[in-house]
Amino acid sequence: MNPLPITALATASPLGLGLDAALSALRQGKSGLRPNDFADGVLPTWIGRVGDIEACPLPASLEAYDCRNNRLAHLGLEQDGFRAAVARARQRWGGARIGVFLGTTTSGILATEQAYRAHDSDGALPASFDYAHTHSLYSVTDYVRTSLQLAGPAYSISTACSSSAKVFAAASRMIAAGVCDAAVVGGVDSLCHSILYGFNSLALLSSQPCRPWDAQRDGLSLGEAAGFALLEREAESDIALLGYGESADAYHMSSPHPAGAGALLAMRAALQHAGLDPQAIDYVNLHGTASPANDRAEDQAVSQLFGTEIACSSTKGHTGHTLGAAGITEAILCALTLRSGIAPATLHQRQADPALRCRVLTQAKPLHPQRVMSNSFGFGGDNCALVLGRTP
Amino acid sequence: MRVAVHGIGLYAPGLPNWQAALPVLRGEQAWYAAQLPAVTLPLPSAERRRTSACARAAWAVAEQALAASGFDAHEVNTVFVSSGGDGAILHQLCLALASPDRAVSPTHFHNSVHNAPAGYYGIAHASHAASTSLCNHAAPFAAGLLEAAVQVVTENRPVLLVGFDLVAPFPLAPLWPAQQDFAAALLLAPPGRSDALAHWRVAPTAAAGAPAADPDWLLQFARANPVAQSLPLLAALAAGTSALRRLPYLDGLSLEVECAH
Repeated sequence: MNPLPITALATASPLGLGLDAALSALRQGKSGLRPNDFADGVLPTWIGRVGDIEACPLPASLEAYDCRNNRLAHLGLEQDGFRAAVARARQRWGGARIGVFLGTTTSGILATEQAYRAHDSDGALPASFDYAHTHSLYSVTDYVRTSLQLAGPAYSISTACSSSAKVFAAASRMIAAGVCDAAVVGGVDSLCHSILYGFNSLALLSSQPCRPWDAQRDGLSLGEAAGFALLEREAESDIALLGYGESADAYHMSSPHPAGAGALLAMRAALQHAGLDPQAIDYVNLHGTASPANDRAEDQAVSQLFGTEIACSSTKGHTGHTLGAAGITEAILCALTLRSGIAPATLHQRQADPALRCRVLTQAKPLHPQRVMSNSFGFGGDNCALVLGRTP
Repeated sequence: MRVAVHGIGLYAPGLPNWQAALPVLRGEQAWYAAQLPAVTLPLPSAERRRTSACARAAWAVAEQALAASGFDAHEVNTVFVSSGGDGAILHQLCLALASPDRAVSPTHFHNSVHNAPAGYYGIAHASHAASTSLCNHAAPFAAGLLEAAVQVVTENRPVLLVGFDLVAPFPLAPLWPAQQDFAAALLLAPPGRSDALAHWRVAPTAAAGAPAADPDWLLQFARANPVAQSLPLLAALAAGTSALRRLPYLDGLSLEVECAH
């Protein structure tokens, strides 16, 4: 594919609000994780929480969308001059030519959880509960499209943890097919009980800050984030999408293929799509959830494709696993790596797992990569790899 | 965008599969709501027991369209779409979370990911082909059809579009977009093979409104289930005549489909 210019980025994550806060955390190796204090705070685990959501109401005209997830989306849109960049794109291309494709796994499910707890004596949900605007998987995309005054095609992608990586593939195709000239892509997922108690039911939550590639790694830390990117058919930009690859594991609903077969297919497809050899990639941002099975499978796939010398890191120790926002959050961290030259550390490692072969950075390091890969692998075996690069 | 239609699947009350639905869609038989046959996926028994009703409905239509097309599942990308996912699983999850210990069933949790039907489909076919799972609250089928057509022309390979929306239990039911069960699938491919059922030109348009009059039962169905907004297209396929249809998509945006046979 031709490189697709990325002309604006915005992030709100446990590392803070905006790109500068995220880059500063990467440089310092600072984690955004803290002991679980979300809602009832009962589960003994660590979380990546965005501190400002509760104090960030939606504009009055969009009040119907009010829920934690759309507040987080709103907070994300306010960062890094993103609204102004979209307004410029709207002037240039027209709102009807700009698509909105966002990833989420649970959207505003917290609103439905709260409605079920507040049901009346007949079991009916409170009259004030508005499923369509607050919880529907589409509500976050609807909110962002309305808020940015865009009128092009739109949908949510919900393929678990690869959701907001796949939005880049979707937008790229829409632009290639001539359906859109530009697209706002991204992902938003917010903390909720479904996810905390759901991962707990699978015994996949660590009681410590997650430790990707550690010998004693014992599961995830969950997080929340919003991230957005503006892609335009033609534009000046320092960063571009060079390729994407998608595959299905066809193995198990909640465990990855043990040898990472699906992950390998997605990474190979991304390279092929970009017209690049593995040697052209300078750094890999791993999916790296710190579950014993994920890291083992991904390690095999990455080392098989790239060998064991390429610099890799998982930034899950910085942000926690932000699920449907993980793809965009890590794509943004990759963009910061390309811009600053600094490859992030894999945090919280005490003892490297001797069974794993990838060269995982444990300190942030000046690497000055030209091209990087970002991996996102989801439940249900839905995989996506992206190749991003500096534009010459 | 030009695509060829190579297979169709249908699974809805009174429309249990594409072949059985043909006389109803052609107006030769009256539509009446009849119970649907049970569907099972070819999976090991432990996994088969865990499949949700949405996964089974999606499988039913996917298999019809795939089998009719003669394409091998391994060469076919998939686009799964619904208005907002699985209401029955969401209900179970929220009930459990409203209980004092908030204990969630692991099976409900892994079925709660929106791409669970796609995951089961991929496992049953051992297919590594790319798959996506989309949502659009009011117009999922139009969103999915646009995505499928875009994939056909940009990836130059066949794409199986699978739409499903099932009713949700009380207390979610009155708020749920689907008030009737409905699932439909289309196997779309780049034009070229001589045995295509139809050729379509698909394009988003600012023009609104349905250019053709459809019977009342069909319009009612399309109002009772967002994925059933596909019915005017399916009726045009059943009639086997050239037609122009517009599916509602988003404010100020429709999806126009010009059908030629």
